[in-house]
Amino acid sequence: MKIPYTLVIGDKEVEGRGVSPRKHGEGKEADLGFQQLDAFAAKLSAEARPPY
Amino acid sequence: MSETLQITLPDGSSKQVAAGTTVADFVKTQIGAGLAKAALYAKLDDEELDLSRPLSRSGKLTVVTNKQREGLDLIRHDAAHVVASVVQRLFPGTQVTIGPSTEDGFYYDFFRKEPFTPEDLERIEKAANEEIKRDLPFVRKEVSREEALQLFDKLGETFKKEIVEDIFSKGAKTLTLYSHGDWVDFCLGPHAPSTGRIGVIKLLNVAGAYWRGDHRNPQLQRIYGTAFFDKKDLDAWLKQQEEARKRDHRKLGKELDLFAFHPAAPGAVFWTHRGTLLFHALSNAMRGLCLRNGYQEIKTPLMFNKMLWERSGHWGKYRENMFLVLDPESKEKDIDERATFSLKPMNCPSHYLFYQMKKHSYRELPIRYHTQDVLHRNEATGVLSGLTRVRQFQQDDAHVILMESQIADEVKRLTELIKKVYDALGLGFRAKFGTRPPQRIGTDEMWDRAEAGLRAAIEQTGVDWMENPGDGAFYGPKLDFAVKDSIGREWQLGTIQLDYNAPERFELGYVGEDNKEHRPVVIHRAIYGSFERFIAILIEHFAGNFPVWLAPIQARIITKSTNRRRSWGRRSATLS
Repeated sequence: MKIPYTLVIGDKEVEGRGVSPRKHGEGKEADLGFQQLDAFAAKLSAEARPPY
Repeated sequence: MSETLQITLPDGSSKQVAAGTTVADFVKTQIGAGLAKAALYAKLDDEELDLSRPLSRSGKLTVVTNKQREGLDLIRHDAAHVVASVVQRLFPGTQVTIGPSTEDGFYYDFFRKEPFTPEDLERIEKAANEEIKRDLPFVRKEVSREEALQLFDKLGETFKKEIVEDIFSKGAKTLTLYSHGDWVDFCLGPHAPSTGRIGVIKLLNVAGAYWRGDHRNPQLQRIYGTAFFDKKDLDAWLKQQEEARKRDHRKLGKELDLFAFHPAAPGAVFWTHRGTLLFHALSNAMRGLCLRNGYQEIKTPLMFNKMLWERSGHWGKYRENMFLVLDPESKEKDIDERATFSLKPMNCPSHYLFYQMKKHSYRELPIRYHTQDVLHRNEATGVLSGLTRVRQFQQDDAHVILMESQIADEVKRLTELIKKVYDALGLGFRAKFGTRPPQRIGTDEMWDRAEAGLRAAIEQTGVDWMENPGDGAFYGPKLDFAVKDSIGREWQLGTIQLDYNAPERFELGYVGEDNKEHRPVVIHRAIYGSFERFIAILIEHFAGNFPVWLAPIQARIITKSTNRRRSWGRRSATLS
């Protein structure tokens, strides 16, 4: 299954109330680095809206 | 003194030339050496001519070159001849049948007991490419029935003899033979001047086929191949084919768990949960787009009795493509007589009925109905394939009922909607403007107005378009939209079709400003086409890497922490 985001949650993420998303692309994954959960959730839900 | 002909060129200019001048000489002396070098054959009005043919009448001459798709089709047919010639040389006793060009290349059907092996194909391919290097001229010759039959009799070509007999029994006076080197075949032509114009031949595979497509006839071996002007183009095509195989929606559909089929319902899709999420994401996006653009979404019955299909003309002309249903209340003994209902193969007639249920004023127009109902069309089980050839499907179908004066504005709006959708999905596209066909209804003035409306609209949108003269429907001109996917393949998707016939047939009307009854025009339009085929194209376009809004699963969580991970993991999941 090709899933757009993989959210890595380790101790740092738990402490900081955030996630470290990796974006799935053709071939390799891009590490987007630590983000606050609210910020990432807002970004994800914006991307989940139809573009038309 | 020979007669002087008037030859008109595509740019409208015209040239005088003595009758008997060959096409090649005419092109070289009257048009230019550059074009003469690129030329493969020509069309005098609708007649296709080899370059070696003499011009014998006045007319409009179009030269087909190696820059055009028609030129590629031509050398692929040339390549089929070349392949047949080397097969007969390498495998004596093999009989030839037919060898047309296809969308992606060509094939040739041979009659031979022993199967062709992959090694045989390599040998044939090598020998065929050597024939290209030899640059043998294709020579055309007209012969009588007797000469033709004698020739193929002597060669022991029983299949060819059968075709020759057929052609003469249909009233032909002569037959044309084409030869290159010492190999000869009958063929309608045209052909390129010589084998050297082919470029490169690549053989692909062998499959079984039957003589004339009938399984009671002898079995033949079909060799598939392709040809290009340039090795570079061939390599690019082979790479695209390989990429396409990797992305094949039937393969990815399984791997991504999107859909399935069962023999109990040929050509009808089982959508998995994930596939259904994807389907609904597309469906809801289209619903939203339509709602925001003045459409009403309606649902009409899936099954109608023949009263509707007789009115629409489908009962007479289209019945074999419809799934008929028995009327349980019918008293008829004969089962065929009881089959008076049908699953709808399209939405249009039901939209017209719906429109007619009320009186409409010009103030309401355009009225736009959008429907995503399930449709059924019969397709032979043999041609069903994945999501692209199905029997049950849904369209993002819409019909716009409007006044003729509103056409240009509406077509502009529709084109903008189409652009919005394709742009958002990263699908490049161009429009093909199909103008009046020879067989058509309506007056020339009506077609002038309709075509002008479409032309004005498409020009205003700045969309890339080309004209397909004569490709309109008999009931009105149209715009077809072909998209280009991420690996460069072109797919026909959206359509905007003007229809002047349906309003007459269904006696649709509206009350005009003058308080009198008027006839509206109908526009059929689809942006996705069928959801099933559109999803197949998107799976391959994205290679399964859907954008977030289409992805059935948008994010997953991997925990690396030692403690508290369960509760944090769960909370993350609910927030996304």
